[in-house]
Amino acid sequence: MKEESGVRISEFLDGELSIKDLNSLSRDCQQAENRKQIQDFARIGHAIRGESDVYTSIDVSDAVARAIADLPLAAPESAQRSERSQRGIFSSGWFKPLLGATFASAVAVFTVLVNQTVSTVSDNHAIPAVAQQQAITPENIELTQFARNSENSEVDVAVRNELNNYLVNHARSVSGGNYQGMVPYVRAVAYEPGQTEK
Amino acid sequence: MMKRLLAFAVMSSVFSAPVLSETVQDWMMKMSNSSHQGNYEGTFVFWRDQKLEAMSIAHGSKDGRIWVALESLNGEPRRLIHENGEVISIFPAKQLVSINEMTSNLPFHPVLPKNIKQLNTHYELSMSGLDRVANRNTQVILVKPKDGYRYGFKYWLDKDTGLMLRCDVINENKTVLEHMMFTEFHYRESPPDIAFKPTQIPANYKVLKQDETQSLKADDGWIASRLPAGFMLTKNILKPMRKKQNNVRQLIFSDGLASVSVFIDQNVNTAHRLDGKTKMGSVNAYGLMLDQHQVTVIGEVPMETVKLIAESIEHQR
Repeated sequence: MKEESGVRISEFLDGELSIKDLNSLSRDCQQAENRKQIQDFARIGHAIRGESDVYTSIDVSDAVARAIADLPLAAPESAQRSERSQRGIFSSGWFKPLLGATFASAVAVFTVLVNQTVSTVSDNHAIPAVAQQQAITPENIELTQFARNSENSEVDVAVRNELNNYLVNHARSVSGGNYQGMVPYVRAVAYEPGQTEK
Repeated sequence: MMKRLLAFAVMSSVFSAPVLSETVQDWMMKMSNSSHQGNYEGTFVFWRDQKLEAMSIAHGSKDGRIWVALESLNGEPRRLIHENGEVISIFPAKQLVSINEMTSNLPFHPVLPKNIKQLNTHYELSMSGLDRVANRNTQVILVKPKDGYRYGFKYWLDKDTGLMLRCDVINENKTVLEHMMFTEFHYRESPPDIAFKPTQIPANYKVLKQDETQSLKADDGWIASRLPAGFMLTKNILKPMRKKQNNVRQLIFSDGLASVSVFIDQNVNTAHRLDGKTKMGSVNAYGLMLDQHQVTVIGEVPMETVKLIAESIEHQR
């Protein structure tokens, strides 16, 4: 990686990057050969700030995420959701666990069986299609969770294209009407068709 | 004399008292209102997974109408324009334009944001100090979910306008899944010059038009029998979709912050369909077959949520 690229990454992680350099930094981030250096920069930043580095293997996502985040959020009760196991393995595409590998490599599987008390949503009469729908809470459903999956595979191109199509439609449909305003539109624009459509 | 002094004291206290401290609910409403009514231009970065995007945005509001233009600044050129229920996506490299007539006459959520107290049922809202974003002072707001069916959010809201200048989407492990942050921001008294002008589409561009407004009443019996608490159906539409021969059913559920779409497709290529779970950034998806239909649930919520909703989809005849 050229020296100026390293400077840009350092500036980004320190929150000092100018908008003019974002394009080139974005390109750098997409090159596998540069990811280790990005990771190293993030680690150095953590060390300088006195933050503990609890991950022995982090990817660019974690490195950048932890560099930009200051997160006092408490983990909800369901802290061992399957998503945790997938952290750090995703790139810009859609990924799914290999079915066999999922089961073979699962370190722990636990099931929570609790009461089946179900309450009915009473204030949802806007659209008849859900007149009989029921609301549930985490305490009253059956959950089967995998503590860790070690292998994942990328979904095939056809499925990925369909998912991207759905994602764009979803983002367009929900934008503008909630508290976050245009954020869903950002997700729609962020999707770059040329990356996956053949 | 005493009455005059008392009146003076009362009036003085009214006019000289500092502005009562705004509650976190005040800030949420301020964010919601300003995101729809403000006039501003700026540049921001959007990060998820290993990808960093830079985009520009121009937002205008006039006479109850809203106009928005978003444009990617890296990668393949993409431009999205939204004006009162119409969303135009322009892909110059493909000479392609997609136009969506949206169902803007429906509220996004039957309860929210009119009753912000509903948010407190499923999220814990708190103020988290001050910060600076895009050279502007911000109030930081934390939105923590009370269960595992939704993500947390951290908002940096402009002190002057309430506009969201930075947003982090955070999972239960405190990992940032998505990050959006303005690097340049200019608030305007009036809409940007380019706002509300007709979008020019070159004659040689292919135009795909999706009109959702004609399909609102179509209801063929698809329901979600179990939903995480707080989620409600906000749309049930049958819509044309690119590369699909038949229209696709879309049900949209929301708790006011998070949203989930259920796509039900009758015309399925069984060799290439989503069976199980997958994810991208903060967006999770879960797919399964039901009554010879492919059901795909997608949304910026945890995997448990999309899986739960997918497995609760029923077809009532």
